[in-house]
Amino acid sequence: MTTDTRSTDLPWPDLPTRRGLLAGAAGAVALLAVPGLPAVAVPVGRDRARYLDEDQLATLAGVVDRVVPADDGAPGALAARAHESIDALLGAFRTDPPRIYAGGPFSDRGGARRNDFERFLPLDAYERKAWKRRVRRLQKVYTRGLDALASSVPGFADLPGPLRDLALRTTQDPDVTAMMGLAVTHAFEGTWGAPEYGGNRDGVGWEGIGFDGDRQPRGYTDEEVTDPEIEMLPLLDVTRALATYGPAMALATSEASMGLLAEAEGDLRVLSQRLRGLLADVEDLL
Amino acid sequence: MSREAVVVGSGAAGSAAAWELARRGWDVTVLERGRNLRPGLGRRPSGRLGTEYGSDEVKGYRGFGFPDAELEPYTTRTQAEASSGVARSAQGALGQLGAAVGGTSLHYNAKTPRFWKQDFSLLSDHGPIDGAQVADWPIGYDDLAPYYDLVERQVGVQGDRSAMPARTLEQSPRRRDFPMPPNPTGYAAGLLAEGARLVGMEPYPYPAAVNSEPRKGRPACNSCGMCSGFGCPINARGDALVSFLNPALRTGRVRVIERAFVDRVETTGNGRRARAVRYRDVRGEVHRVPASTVVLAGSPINTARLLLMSANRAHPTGLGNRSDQVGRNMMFHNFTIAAAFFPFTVHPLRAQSTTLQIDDLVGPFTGPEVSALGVPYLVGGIIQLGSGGPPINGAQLMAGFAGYGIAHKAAMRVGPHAGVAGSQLVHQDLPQAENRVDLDPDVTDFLGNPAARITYSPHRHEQVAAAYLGAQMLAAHQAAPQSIGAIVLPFPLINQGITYTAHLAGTARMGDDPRASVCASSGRLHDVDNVFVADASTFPTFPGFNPTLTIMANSIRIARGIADGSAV
Repeated sequence: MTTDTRSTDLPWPDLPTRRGLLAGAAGAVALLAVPGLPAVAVPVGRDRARYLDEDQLATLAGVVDRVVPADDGAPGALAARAHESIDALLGAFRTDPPRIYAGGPFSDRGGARRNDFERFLPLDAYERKAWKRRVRRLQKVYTRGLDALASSVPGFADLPGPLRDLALRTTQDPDVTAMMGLAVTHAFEGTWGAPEYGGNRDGVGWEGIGFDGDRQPRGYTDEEVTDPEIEMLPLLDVTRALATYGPAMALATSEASMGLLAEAEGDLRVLSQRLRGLLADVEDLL
Repeated sequence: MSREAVVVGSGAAGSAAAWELARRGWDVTVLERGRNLRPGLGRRPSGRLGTEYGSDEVKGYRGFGFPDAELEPYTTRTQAEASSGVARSAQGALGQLGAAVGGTSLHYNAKTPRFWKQDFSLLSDHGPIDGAQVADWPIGYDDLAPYYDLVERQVGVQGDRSAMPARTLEQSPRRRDFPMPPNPTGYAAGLLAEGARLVGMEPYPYPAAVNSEPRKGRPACNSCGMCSGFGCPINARGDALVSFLNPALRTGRVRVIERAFVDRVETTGNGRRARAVRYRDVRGEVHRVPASTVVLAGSPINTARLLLMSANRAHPTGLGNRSDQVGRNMMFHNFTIAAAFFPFTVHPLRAQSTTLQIDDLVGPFTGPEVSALGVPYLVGGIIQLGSGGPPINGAQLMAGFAGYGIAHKAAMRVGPHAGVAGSQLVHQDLPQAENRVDLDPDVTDFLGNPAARITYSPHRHEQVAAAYLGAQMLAAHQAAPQSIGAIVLPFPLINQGITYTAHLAGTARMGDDPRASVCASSGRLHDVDNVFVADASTFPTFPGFNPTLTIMANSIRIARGIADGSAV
């Protein structure tokens, strides 16, 4: 749902201190030499529709790279090609059927011989009407936002990560913040959604967080359910996650969360305002 | 009386009603605003139907099988906003209410507890509560029991009577055991159950309309965990489509019209009888289906909207609305949510979701500690135990709450699919006159019909229950072995507005008094002879149990009354 979103700033748990930022910047400059890290030279899949031009796509790659950064643990949204999955959505109607809904019931990752997800579903008149409107709106938001970002921060795509963070966190440009509200969600979809949508290349997103992905038709054996192999999680990560994200993680285990997400319709600014209102006082309550 | 009916809506209530009418020889036209997502519908037995669903989280966020907010927005506001003249404070999607042939049951969590005996006589047993329209049901548990038996067989329910607590069996007695044994208990649910037992609670296998063994041509569930919000890719779930609508279609006496946007029930001049149901197709063209019997089953928000949109000279404030109760008493299940955190993977998604149930917080609770909180008694609900969340869901909520970046990504590794096990208390929601559905004065759908506007705030009762019972949930989660922390979110206490759940009731309550209710116990509108309401709109109160089993049972009860002419 659209609600009043005067507050355009998003919360940042890991905003580096000035000292940390400078150190991070220095480190990232060295990393610039690593092939593939700067978001410019992005190979483009041949099997998907395109909407953004090369410059816009490079800027978008520079954005998603900061939403889910690569770190010691795993590659991030850039390696997952989340930017390409967003471009595929913006160009969804340039293929037939449009790339909105992957087919079903099975991919070939859970034991099926054929990948049904690869065959996108034809839309009926209702879905076509709604999605044409939505995709047109998204196209505007992304092209305006990416162009505004590129012109207000020259060379954005080539900047070291921490400097891109700084640019994204401090921008007051309404076109950029409007885009970021959606790009964060879309970067998540492109990192942790089914690869058929153009991201999560080779399952790197799922692998990075230890998520099994779609498992049908094989599913799990009774023993895998009742007596699974247990892996220890990094204790520091668990305690940090609990301290920083605990209420949101609890909410994520409930069906009630799906309504909140539908209400926000992918705009993280709307979701953020709602969640902060909801969860801010939780620890004081009981 | 002509043996034909028009049913509006093909979800749990509409499919069950169509099935009952068809097997008694009636001809039925079902009007559904969504489209069919199950290839082979009507042509193949339910065990051989295809599905366009998959374990695909992106598809869910793209609203597959849902009304699209671009075309059919809802609007909402709180009671406080309404009384200060705010027309609406939000507009868009409503979340979990599906629009497809088969309705929301295509992706329901399929948990099927029965309501309890005490739920039908709350007012008589415990009295009124200020600010709420607490009421007895005009039927009792015994009226529904044979239909509970029937539905449990028809959808295929798994469960274990021998593991059910004594009070549960006393309050919801059952003549025989469940058709199937339970699925294996998820590891995460098992850990939470140990904690719950340590604080004196009694977890047991959650009855669910999910095959635990091959049955009626459909396979056994293999515990993939992508249940609530996902269509079952292997057809193991007993939804309304495979259980009722498809068998009904295969009698040859039923037809479904997809993408039929019903906007009016037309009546005779004196308003006593419906003559036709009017709908528009997606292009806006008007169609009329002549009707000698109309069954409304669009779920509470849309049933109320249709009654209100059907206002005419004989029914100036909406069809069947002489009582001014149409649209009022809109009830949602608020969920109080608890979660325990573990330093190792507990695989909460690796199970038929929330495999265990706890009834110890159903209540009612009375006594000085309750009255000190400002209510004479409080009623809670069941706890569903051992849930997790798929990654995009968790990623959005976590980022929306505290930002994205490196810390977010690290938290994702230990997140709601890995080291967290959650539970939900399904809260009884009291009926309030001012919690209501009406027609938005400005916002319309793509066909120009007014959007449903929902005004909702939880009653103090729900808030007090969340605090009182949430503390007990927290204790159970803290006691889970090896958990390093636990959190409780007493949702109705922190959320002043609507809870976007798939559990809805009210808006056309049944009762014996035409001045205080919309329809009789038969489902028939007090004011119109041949229009029946068969969905959860009829519920006078909303007990804290997953409602779909009761929706189906009640709908078949109502349909049988129509078919054998006993409906009064």
